[in-house]
Amino acid sequence: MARTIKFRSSDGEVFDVEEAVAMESQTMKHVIEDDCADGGITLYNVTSDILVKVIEYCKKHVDAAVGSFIKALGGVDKDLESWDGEFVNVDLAIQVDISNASNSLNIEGLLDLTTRVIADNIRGRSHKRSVRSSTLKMSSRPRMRNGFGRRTPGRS
Amino acid sequence: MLTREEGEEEQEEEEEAKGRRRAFSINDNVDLLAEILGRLDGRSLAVAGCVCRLWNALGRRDSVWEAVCHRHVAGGGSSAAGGGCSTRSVVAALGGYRRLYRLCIGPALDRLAGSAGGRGSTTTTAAAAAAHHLSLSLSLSLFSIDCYERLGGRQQPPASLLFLCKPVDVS
Repeated sequence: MARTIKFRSSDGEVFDVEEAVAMESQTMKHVIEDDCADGGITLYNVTSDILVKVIEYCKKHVDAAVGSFIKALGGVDKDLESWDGEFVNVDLAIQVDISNASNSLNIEGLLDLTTRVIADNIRGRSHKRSVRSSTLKMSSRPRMRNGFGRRTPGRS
Repeated sequence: MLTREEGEEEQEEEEEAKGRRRAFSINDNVDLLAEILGRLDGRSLAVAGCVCRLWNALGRRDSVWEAVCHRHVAGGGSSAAGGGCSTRSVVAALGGYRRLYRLCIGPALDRLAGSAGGRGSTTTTAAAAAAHHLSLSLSLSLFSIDCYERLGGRQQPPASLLFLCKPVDVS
């Protein structure tokens, strides 16, 4: 029977994840190999909605790697690529959150996928203002309603 | 009536704001932003340097331009660790990856994209540029020649890389 590991998101939700799926993350792989995962792992900088997406990605890639001989022959899995394309077809803010989570969890494939998609979003924006608006969209913080950007204390 | 609805809306927004106060902004994680900017092409990266001070500072980082250069160079370039280190020290001595892109790789890619477009290709400029992988050793050779020519402090601009900027008639 596959061993499952409990992951707790920053907002307190608990997820049961199979060990093979959790090992997609290099950070978690080291934690598991060092036998520090028995009491569950709390991820302080990943919210539950993002953790759901990350686990979905890892599970899909683990399943695809198990069943596919195309990759073993060095080919490219077209179905997986199209699934990946659909997976990142979300809001820019969510893409940024997923890339941050994959960066801290050290999931190379997901990091590459999300950074590539965000870069494609930025590429070709010719005007300074349009690029600046993209930085606002890349933040999931709420914007000021009155339009005058009052700086939050503590942020430069 | 309207003011009460507005008041309720404000309350909902405040609750949502409290829930997402710890949300993440792309400008918080500099390394992640550097990864993203390293996947742009040269022109977009230069434009991104006009956004704010943080992005400008990242746009001046040589590691970001190194990623951009290696993306356009045949064979990846960053795979061999030993080769990568020696290349990095050579390029740093000659003036950095940003200068290398500006003088050698950027104009060459523009020329290749232009010629691909002229032949009636339906691909975009970016795709055409991506399809052509330049030789790193050739770019480095041209770069070093240009650096040598500038060492003398001559009045005229160096002539070695002019062929990249102006069309050469070889008929």
